Amino acid sequence: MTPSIQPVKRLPNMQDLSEKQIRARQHVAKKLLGNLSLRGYEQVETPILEQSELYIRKSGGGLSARLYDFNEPGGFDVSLRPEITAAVLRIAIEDRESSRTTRLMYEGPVFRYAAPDDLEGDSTRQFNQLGAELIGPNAPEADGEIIAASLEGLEDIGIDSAYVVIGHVGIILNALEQIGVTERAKNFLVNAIPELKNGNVDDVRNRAIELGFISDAIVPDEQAEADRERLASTIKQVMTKGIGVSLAQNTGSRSPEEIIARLSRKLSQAENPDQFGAALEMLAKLATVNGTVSESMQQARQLLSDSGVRSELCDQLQAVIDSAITEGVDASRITVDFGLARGVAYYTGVLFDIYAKSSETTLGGGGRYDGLTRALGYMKDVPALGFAYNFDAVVELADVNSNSTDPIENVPLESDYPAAVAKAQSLRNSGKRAAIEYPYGGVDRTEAPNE
Amino acid sequence: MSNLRFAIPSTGALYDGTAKLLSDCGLGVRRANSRRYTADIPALPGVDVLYQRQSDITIEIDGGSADIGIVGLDRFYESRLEQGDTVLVHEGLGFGDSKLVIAVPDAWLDVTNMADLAEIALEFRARGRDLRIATKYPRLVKRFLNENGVNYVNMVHVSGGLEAAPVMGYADIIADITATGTTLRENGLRILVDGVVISSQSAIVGGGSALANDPQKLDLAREILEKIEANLRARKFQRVTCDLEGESEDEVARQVMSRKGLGGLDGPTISAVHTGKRSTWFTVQVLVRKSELSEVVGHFRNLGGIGITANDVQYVYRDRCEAYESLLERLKPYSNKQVQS
Repeated sequence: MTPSIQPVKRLPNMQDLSEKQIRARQHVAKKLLGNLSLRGYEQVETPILEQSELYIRKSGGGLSARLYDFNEPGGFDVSLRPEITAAVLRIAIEDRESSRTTRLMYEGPVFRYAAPDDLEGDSTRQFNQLGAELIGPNAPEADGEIIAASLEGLEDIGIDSAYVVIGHVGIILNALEQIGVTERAKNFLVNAIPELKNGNVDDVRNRAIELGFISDAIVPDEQAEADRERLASTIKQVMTKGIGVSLAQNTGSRSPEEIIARLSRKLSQAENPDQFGAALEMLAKLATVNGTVSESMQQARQLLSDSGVRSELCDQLQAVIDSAITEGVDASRITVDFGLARGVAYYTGVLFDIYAKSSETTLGGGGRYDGLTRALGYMKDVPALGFAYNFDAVVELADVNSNSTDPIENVPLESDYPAAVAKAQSLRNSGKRAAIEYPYGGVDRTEAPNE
Repeated sequence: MSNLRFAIPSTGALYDGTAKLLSDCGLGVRRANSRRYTADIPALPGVDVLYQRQSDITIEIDGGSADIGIVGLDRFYESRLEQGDTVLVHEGLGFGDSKLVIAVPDAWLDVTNMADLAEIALEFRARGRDLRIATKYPRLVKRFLNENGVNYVNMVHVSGGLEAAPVMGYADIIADITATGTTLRENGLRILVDGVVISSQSAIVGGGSALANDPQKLDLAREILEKIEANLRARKFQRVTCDLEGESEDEVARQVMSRKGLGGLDGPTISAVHTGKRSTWFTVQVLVRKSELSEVVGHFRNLGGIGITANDVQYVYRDRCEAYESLLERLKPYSNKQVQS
């Protein structure tokens, strides 16, 4: 059997674009960027290839597991960008005047690995984001501006039924802080919000037991017990046989001192199961609060005060919503969802998702991430917020005249070549698309003796 | 039209399991000597058996140099091309159960779960050297680590025994396949409580294009699947035989079936025992689940049965081969006819 060379296929979940699609994109991008430009945003472009570090720092597990990362010839560990915010923020911090508000916008492809059989994940590995970052202000009015700007742009391209769902991760983090759970438990609980929202409290509780956040009389707390047993037997050995013998067990690349130091730190920061339980109970309820602004705000305040938690950040959320309305957003297009959370750890305040009324598709989202500059390694806290459209979904829904591409006139290459060239050129001079049609030279080899 | 190239593991844990499964299925492999890497199956002419390293089998099927193969699911997911040519043909052959796990030196008293490991990775980073993990499964392990927030990590690719890596110092922790955890424990390593990357067992995989477009190969694959499916099913059953006294076949049948569910898989087979006199004895045969065996034996005793025996059966066939039908479904996208129409 002769080996045959197969054509190279596209990667799974990667698409080509037709001229029609490209035109539609250009049209929509121009409108959206134009709208932001009128609001004072300047367009920037950042490298598609960056050091992986830019995205790994402080990002939750969700995103880093989806990075396209590799070693480039220069020795750097690099990734195709999975998002653009971090790089835009770097421009604002390093290259712009630091004492003023900076408004930047961008458009371009991002890359996130998506398993082809993961039905809940993205269906594409390369998609486009168009977004804006507002760097510097603390004021809730800035959050209002971002929300209003995102909806305004959509109206401009004929999507006038879009609405926003607003959440506030700051309220949740602050409540957990007040209840008094450890940093580690906080991360665990915030990551569990999507599950809690779906009512899977038992799954979350079981995992918390498995990870030793809470113990259960029926299911033995395997981990904490193992910790305690090991510690007890180590101490016993130390007491009976002396230090040299007892720690002869192989500790690999870490020193015994290091291990004991971290263990005692860990045990001293051990979770108070009652507080963790209270936090889980509070969050399980809070995560399911959603609906109209006034009703859900009232429910959330009630819930927080029932748990003995001060709720001043609710006032801040209300102020954000009020300013969006002042900016011209119809109150009917805003709903609140306290179960809105993202797998990106640097969000600190308001979060929002934009939906088209006509479909379930998310058209984009945004939020406030005051913690990001520090996470990226800058020695200052700079408030920042922004949003990005899921550009491909927006283009799909946009009201674009899809027949706007001009037809191409084909000039046959007959006996008189110079005449054909002249004809094509005169068509082009009058603004028409013209191409010379050569006789087709391809040959079908399907029948070739290949086996 | 050509022979079906059947790749099976040449060494390792799956070698023995594969040999036993095939011989249980009447498909024993004939290998001229243990240094030969090709063999055949006398009961099934047209099949070329290729002994291959388990880690190469999926890659070879993807590349078209073998048609079907037996591998661990862990290996399949580690080395397959997504939406490549290799499809899962049978997902559970009943041997080679194992787990790919993250294990740390047992003396790391402070590290019990993945969140601890994420913190340790940050501490290593802060001291200027990333945490090193030795594994033969870099692709699955790296994704698992990232999903669990362990982002700063160096994958150390090792092909030999991994368990010694932390002691010898060329890695800090390991991710390896284990069936019972004994070898890890004996080497002073401990599995993290939430450190299971993937649970695996042996499976049959096949090349989509080859099977979809070569009827001879597909037919040979069907014969193999038929036998394996029937044999795996047969392991759950036993044939029970018993002599019962009664007026007639019908009356004996009524007695046997008087207790619901104890009449066997397809109802009892009853035949008269010819003793030379007017026969009042009948031999009853039923096929029952092993879990119901003692209940059935008790039932026969209550009916006055004698000479009760139970035997293993080699195959239990159904009206159709489910594994083959699901294979046909999976092959649809690979058919050339489909592409042209």
